[in-house]
Amino acid sequence: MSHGNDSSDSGVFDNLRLELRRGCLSVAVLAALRTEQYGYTLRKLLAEHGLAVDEGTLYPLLRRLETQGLLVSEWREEGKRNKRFYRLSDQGALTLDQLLAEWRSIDVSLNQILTELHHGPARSVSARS
Amino acid sequence: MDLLDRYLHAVKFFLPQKHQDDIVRELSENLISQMEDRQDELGRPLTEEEAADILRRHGHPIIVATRYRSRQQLIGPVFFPIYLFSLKLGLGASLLITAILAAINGVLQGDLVHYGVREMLAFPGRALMMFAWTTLGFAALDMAQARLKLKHDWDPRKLPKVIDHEYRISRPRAIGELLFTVASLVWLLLLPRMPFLLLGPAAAFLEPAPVWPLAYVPLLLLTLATTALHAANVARPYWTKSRSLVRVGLQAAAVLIFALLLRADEWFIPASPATVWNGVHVERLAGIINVSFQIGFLVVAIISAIEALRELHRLNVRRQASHTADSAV
Repeated sequence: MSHGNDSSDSGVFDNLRLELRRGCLSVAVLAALRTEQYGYTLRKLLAEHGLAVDEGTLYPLLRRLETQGLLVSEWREEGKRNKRFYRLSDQGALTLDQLLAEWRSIDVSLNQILTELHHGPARSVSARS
Repeated sequence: MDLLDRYLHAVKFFLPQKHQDDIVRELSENLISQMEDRQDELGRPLTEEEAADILRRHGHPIIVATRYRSRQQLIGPVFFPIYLFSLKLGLGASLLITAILAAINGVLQGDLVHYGVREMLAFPGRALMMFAWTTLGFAALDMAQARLKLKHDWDPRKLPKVIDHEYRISRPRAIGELLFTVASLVWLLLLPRMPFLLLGPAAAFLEPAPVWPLAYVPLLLLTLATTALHAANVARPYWTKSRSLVRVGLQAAAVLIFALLLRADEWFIPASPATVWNGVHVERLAGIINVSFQIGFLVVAIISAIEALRELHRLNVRRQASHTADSAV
């Protein structure tokens, strides 16, 4: 049975996927920057780990995280050229720990919900009330 | 690198001025690294098409630059629906006001088509002003909200009550009534200086009878109070007990004022009784006009009395319904 047109379904999926990834991306960037990177190498690193992200999203995000005090950056010469290197600040490390705890908690909750739906009759709202 | 320079120059133009150089420098390094990587993969320098492809995938200069701006919209999603509603309301009201002004101006100047159309031509300018001020107002509100954030200590008990369908007043109707009473108020205020607004050409040889100075101020106050009631209906379009009572009071006042007017035998008297206008003696004309006004006042007084009784009946029905609901709880 078709639930509507394929292109609109894929549009909805793309939007939801984008929303899901947007939040995760900040965590991934903070995690990746426990080791110092500059913009381009960071982007490659994320892509190698299955998290391809376009430049237009990543570079402004780095600046935003720096403005929020979660990253620190410095211009340094490498390969005869000056590059801006980013790394996690102390506050960033603390925030990353909190975000990872939150991430794990969401993961546990989601798994519980999925397990309950697959294996046991979930208590309906009306049954509860 | 000409292509890269042109690209960076285009991006720079749209960047926040304070960080332009820093951002462009960083973007430049990242793009050069990306191009060098690609050259290493291919084992040769990039063609112009390949370099252009990298820049194309990096994004249009305007889009790339806007992402570096902290504020990317004038009015955010919180206020946008209210903004849209206000815009529709404002444009509708401004069209209606323009139409009323066009009609009044046309009648006053004695050429409805010429002056009416001239007034209507002012609508695009008026609408544009309305659009600009509404947008500016909401942009300022949104900016203030972004700084302050919506308060966390808001009280759900202060939210407006959910109104039953039968208590609701249609907003377009409320706006229409408000505009009508505002127009009536303007008409009433102009009347002492422009009696032809009431009598037409007959104003040249008829005078108001002594009853008018007595009735004018109460009529003005009644129209003013009715305008205030309609303004309240536009702001909060539902009936409340107090508003129903005010409506009963206004209708009763209208009955009294028109009863006072009806007690007089005549409302207009000839300025000079011997005059003849269009072959009709002015005294006879005054007689016809007075009979017409008598019938008009009587009809208005009866309608006001019926409306007052209907409102009282509605009040009673609502009171009983409310008692029934209370006892059911």
